[in-house]
Amino acid sequence: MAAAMTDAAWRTAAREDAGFTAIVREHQSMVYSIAWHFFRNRALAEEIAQDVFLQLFRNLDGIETPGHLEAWLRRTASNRCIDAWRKKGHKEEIPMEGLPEPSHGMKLGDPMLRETLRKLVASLPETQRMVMILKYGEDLDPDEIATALGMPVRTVWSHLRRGVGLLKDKLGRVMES
Amino acid sequence: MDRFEQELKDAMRREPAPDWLADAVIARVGAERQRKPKPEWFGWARLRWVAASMVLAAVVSGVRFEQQREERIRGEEAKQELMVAFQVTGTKLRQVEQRVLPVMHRGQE
Repeated sequence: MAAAMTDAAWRTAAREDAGFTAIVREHQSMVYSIAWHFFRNRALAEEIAQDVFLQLFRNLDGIETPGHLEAWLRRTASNRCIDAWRKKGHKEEIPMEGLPEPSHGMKLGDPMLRETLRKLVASLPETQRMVMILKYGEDLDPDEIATALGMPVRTVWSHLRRGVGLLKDKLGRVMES
Repeated sequence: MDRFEQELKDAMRREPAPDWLADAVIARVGAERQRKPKPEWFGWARLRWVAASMVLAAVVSGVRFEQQREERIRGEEAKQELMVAFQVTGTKLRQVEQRVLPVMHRGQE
């Protein structure tokens, strides 16, 4: 929808039914994927994604450009996930139970290893988990993550360093067990 | 980016949204569009103004009532003082009369 359109024309189109539908179709995977990696629960991810787009509809007047829209959706989805997680009273890390049985031959590139990694990411504390999702799932740089989550860039770097370290440690334990 | 991070990136690839998600969002947006907006005078802003006006009117009435009450009390006090003054004057006049009348009678005799 954004291709070959001025910002003004884009704003007008976004407020029409067809334009808004196109926006939802274009960005639904990004919003849904952030929520899915965060909760690893389809029903919750669908609910969050719907709520985010409904909130977008209510706030369309404040969205100026396609770039602004994408950043807004990412920020809103991230914050909604973290808020929903805290509201449900989850205060601690998800236990590592439910991880796939490790196989001795598990090595880099193995689909089983990737599934284990996804579950390990979902077991991180909520803010650190979201930082990892935005970095490795959405390919954002630390500045963009800091803007999306409203935190200093050095805090993002700290979450990334600790998160990767924690994941390596947990993966090592899972593979040893 | 080391091999572990590359593996992490592959693991965290975007999960496709279910096909019906966009339709569900559009349906909810349609329902929201159809919802009738409330009359403006039900709005919170209007309600706050009405409440503030009522409080202001109550304060002004209270102040006015208190001023009138004080004026009434002062009026009553003044009236009371005047009455006392009249009584005192009347008493004095009677005393003067009682002294003057015998003298006048004696003069006539």
